[in-house]
Amino acid sequence: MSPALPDCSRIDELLLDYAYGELDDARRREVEAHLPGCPSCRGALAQMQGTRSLMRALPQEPAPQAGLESLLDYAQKAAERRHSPARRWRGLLAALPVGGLLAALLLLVTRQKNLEEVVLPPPQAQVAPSPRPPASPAEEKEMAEQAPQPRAKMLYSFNNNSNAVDDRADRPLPSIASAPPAPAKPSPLAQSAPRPPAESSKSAVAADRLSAVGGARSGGKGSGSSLTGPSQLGLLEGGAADRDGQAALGAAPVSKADRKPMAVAAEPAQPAAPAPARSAAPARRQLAPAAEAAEADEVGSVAPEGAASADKAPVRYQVKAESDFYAEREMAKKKVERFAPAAAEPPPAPAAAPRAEAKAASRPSEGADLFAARLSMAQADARRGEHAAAAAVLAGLVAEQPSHPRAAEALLLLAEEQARAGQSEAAAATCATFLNRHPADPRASRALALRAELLQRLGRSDEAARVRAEQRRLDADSAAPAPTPAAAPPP
Amino acid sequence: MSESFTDEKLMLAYKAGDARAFEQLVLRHRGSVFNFLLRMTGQRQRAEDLLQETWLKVVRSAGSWEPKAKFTTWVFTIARNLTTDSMRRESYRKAESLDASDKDGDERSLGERMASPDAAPDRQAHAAAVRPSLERALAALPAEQREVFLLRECHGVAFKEIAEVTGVPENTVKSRMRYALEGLRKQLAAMGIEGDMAEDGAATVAR
Repeated sequence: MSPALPDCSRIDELLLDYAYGELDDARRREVEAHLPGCPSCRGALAQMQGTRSLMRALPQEPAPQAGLESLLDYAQKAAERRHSPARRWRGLLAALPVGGLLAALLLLVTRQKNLEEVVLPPPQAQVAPSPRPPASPAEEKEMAEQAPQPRAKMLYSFNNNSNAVDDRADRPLPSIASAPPAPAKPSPLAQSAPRPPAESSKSAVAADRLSAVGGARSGGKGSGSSLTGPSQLGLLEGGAADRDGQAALGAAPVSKADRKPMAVAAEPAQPAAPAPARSAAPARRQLAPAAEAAEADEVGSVAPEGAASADKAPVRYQVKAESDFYAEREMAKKKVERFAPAAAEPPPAPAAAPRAEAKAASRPSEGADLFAARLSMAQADARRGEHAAAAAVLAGLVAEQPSHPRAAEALLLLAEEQARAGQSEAAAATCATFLNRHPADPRASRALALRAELLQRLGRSDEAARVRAEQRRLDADSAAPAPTPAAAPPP
Repeated sequence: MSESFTDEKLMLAYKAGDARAFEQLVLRHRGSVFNFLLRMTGQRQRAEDLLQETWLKVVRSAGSWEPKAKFTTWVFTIARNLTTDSMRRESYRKAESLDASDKDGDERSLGERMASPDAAPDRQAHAAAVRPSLERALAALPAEQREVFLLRECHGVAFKEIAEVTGVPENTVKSRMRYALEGLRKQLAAMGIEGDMAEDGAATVAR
């Protein structure tokens, strides 16, 4: 019974597995036979167990809700895509040689019709009285900028008729025959199916070929629903989500900007903004397909009718848009509030301001100022030290709405966040952009100072010196007129 | 989708097109993966990002998934690799950062950050008081010990599977685990927290 030394070292090797219940019965019994007579092994085990039981007080935290829904949506779409409706579709056509040909022809006609339908502005859009005050120049510009962007998601709306056909593969011809000639009257099948499951994947197949059509459609459809919607909220929401899936005017930027800012911002950032948004952006951007696809699906189930028939479809869409709107806003708000205390290392005052702003943005009446909401999300990111993330949000914002009244503020903040994120090159370029676009802005001096610092850091001392000289000149010039506080955002 | 299905069956069902099966998997394991990520990164936002990335990767890889290993082993492998990449990028970014004093914006210790202020009021005041110290002790472990500890202690992953997750031999895993336990014990002792404070401490044997 008394433990010989070799026995001890063997037992000691087994102790960890013993403690975690990973030994088979024979070896477990071996350990249990050894322990009573061996204080040293007992002690070793007791230490392990003591530490373990202490560490058991570590709380398991609940996983965040954010991202869950879009993940599940994405998973569903991916599953559908894997089960390639495209293949089924081709199979259907092949199985019905004559009917298939006819169907294909009819579909072609339908597409043609749809295209015409959409390219021409829908009549309601022009006639319907709008409860909304005329769009501000900024908003108009924004629409003009965003409407024509061909986005894959718009294509999701395209194939409603064909989906209906596909879903009812057992009787393809009648439904095709009834649907195509009058796209203005949506196929009853398309209407009744609450959420045609094959839709997105199907349209994805058509995406390449039809991107031009999708772009055109998106423009027409967007303006249609945004002008005919019965309530201002719904109309802003519908119009925005409809138009570009990034909801330039809708709920998404607030909610998603907080949850996954990049899903909203990173994409549009590519063409115009110099921000590579290195560390956080790629991770977050992953969400974009999911989120966009999810929206696309919703939009898609109604969109084609939205412009032409103002009866059922717009109403349904509106309800959906509003409920989502509030739900997501609520979520964003909670999130902002949750992070605010964490970010309040510096005095609470600066943290409180954007928070109030985000709250304000959640009130429907001010819902249109998503620029402010997204800006405050970026500020929240910045306070959390997520500089690359903040930069990516800001880059998107600046690229999308370069003429927004607060664009200068966003641009300078972008430069600062890029600098903090270590993106010196991009930050210096952003400073230059700022100085080009807003030479008379009171913050020009700050931009010059930052640019000088960055150039210095990049080893471009000569340029840095020139910029510093410029800054001194500017400071001297502006010393006489009203001095301006650093970051007063214009109203 | 019945609860009695194994993870692997669910994954096969999802692979075959059943989105509900995936939902079930998410329900089962998302929280666990999140906690792993949270304690590996020490940053909530990053953990959330990595969580999403992990599951998106599960979705994307579902088509080629084969039930060769346990589902949880696979998921933790994905999460762990993403974390490693992210930490590598992060250290690079920090080295590059213009303003070194700016740090990460959050200068509280990991323990303070982790002790979430909105957690439900805990009846065991002692546990609540000790918790930040536990987080701190855990955060002080080298990453390769911490991951082993978390996987084994908090997520019930067997040593053999941890070896698969981390890509090192099982013996290495076990010695890291012993170092981890020893390191934690010393850390906690230094903070005045001893193993025998736990009511069920020395005598219990986990099964």
